[in-house]
Amino acid sequence: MKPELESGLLASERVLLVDDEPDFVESLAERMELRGMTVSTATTASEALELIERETFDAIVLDLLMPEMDGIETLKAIKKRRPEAQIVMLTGHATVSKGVEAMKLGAVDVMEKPADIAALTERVHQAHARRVVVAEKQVQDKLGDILKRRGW
Amino acid sequence: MADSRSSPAKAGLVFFGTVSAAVSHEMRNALAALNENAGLLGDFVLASAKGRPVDPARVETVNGRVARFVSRADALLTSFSRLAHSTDQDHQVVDLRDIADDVVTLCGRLILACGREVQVAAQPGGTVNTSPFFARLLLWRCLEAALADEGQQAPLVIAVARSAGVAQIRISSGGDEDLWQRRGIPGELELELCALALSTIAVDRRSGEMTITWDSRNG
Repeated sequence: MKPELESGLLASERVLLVDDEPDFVESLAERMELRGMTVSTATTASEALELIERETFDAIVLDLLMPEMDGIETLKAIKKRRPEAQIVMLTGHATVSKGVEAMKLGAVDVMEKPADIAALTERVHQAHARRVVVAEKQVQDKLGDILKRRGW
Repeated sequence: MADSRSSPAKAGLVFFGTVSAAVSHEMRNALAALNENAGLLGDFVLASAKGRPVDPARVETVNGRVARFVSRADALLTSFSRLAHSTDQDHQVVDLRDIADDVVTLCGRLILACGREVQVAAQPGGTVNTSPFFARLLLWRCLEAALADEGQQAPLVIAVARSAGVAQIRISSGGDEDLWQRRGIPGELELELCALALSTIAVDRRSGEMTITWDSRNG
């Protein structure tokens, strides 16, 4: 589908949005789709974990504070299942320590709500580029491993 | 180390800080949603300028979302404003329903994080003379203790009732008769808060119901 607005993106990036506010998630998803991204949404951590088991995403935008399982716990659970996942944390809770903790646990960025759509789009673009590099490295490592094991 | 919540003054400060943090978080969430919906309207205008027709149903959806967030933020700020003004005077005549509603509204995210539902069932006319701040703190202390009790799923019900010269806030324990005893409620602090709020507190061991009572003839 052709984006309705200029996105500046070369390919449709697959994004997972995770936030417990359905109205927020829906409107942000719509805006990202207008910019050419393919967006899936989840309003609970368990829903998000189910989605990442089934699908691959170029970037995951994750709310830092959610009921049931908070963003930090969700981040750990995603990283455990998908170490290569590129996760951008969104927070309405302006504490530096939580942001630092998220970065230490492997988040690629922490953005404060309300987020600027252009900045968020740029972060998704960067996350996609990083994921491509990580995926290429994984393929190379796998190939190297096969060649080594077979003695070629 | 002394318990930082051991005096009404310290507990009050902790309560105000906790509530302020929860409210600022909720306001950011509301602003974030309003920001996305305003942005979405801007996107529709841009798309329209490029010759793509705007679907009125999409605009109506955005309008509905904005109205919902404005209403939620308004309710939150109304409760927060009442809390902020609850220290204007030592004692004021207030409606107990406002106190129950405010505590549940202001602490909504904290309640949600505990995974329990809290319902308010209020009869009209429960006005009493009390310290509005310490009455809120007392109710939150009881509620917080009940919510911290793991393994319970049943909704907690806060009932506001008036009868024969008294007005009461009752918290049911969802059928758990030992809840309050297990949580040490009422402790020394809750008894001090009761005195400051011009109320008394009692637990019915058979029903597991906690009751805070005010003399409504002064209300």
